[in-house]
Amino acid sequence: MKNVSIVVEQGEVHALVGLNGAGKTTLMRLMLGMLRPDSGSVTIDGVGVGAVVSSAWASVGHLVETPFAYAELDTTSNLKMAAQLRLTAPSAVGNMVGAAVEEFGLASFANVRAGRLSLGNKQRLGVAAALQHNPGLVVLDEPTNALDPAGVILVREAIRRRRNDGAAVLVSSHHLDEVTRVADRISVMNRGSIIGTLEPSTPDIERAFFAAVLADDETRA
Amino acid sequence: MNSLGIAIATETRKAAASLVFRMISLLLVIGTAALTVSMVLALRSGNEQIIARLAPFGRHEGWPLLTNVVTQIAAAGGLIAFAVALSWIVGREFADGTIAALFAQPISRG
Repeated sequence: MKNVSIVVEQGEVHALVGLNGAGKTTLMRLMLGMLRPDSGSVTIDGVGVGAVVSSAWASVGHLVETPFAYAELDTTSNLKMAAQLRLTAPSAVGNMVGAAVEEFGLASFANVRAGRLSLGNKQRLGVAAALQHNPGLVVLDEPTNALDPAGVILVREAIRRRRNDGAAVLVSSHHLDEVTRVADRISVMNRGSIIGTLEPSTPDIERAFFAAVLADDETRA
Repeated sequence: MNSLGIAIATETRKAAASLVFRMISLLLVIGTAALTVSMVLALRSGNEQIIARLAPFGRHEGWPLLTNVVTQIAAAGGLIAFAVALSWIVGREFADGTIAALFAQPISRG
């Protein structure tokens, strides 16, 4: 990963698009402190990611690759656990989980073990666990993976609500149509670098995306 | 609840619901009982190796003999059970991919 500079502003959905292996997930891992860069820096609210006090992570919500879903626990228990890990007050956990179950259409599966959920419902559970505490910084890697059209709309609306409440949202996707519906800014990644930006209102965004990737590949060749 | 308390509560909740922990507990109990019965029967039949292994407890009878044999077996079995449980607690996070969700949490690793 090199030549990467990206800012996620409050009240904004910033989308990362790129082909498989472009480095979207790696960049998200760097931003969340899961990986350490050889050079360069990542800051959250102006504080280096390695120096962020542990309590500040309570206002971060993320879903990177695998949903927060322990197979032996049911949907409600998983959400309660996620809320507790984000330091939610015990008295508020019940209401928070109830609201998340409602918002993400999980009521029918509230008492179903995560191991028995379909991929799509497990993904809903993961997104709910990442967003239920209304974080100020949201990092979602392919949040609509495996979701049915109804789930895609649920997640899209949930992201918009957090954005409208002032959250800074970074979301990766390779579904360009979906990205244009939710993003305020789009950065294009290719071979580990940010190679440009796209306007969400671009008429034929798929063509523009591939043109950018092709131009970058030709530059490197 | 502080970070350590939340971490312990979280792991306890997962362990209580897991089939692996139930199987470990069951095997520890059944294994200890089976080995204890075998050892006591071998002792009573005059097996010299078992007599040497249990000395000086072999001279006891009744509850003192039983508790001493159980203590020896449970000590070794408990260590194995602990090692398996600890390996599972850590390893399952990687195997299930849930490790990524445990980063960027306000629960200190220190």
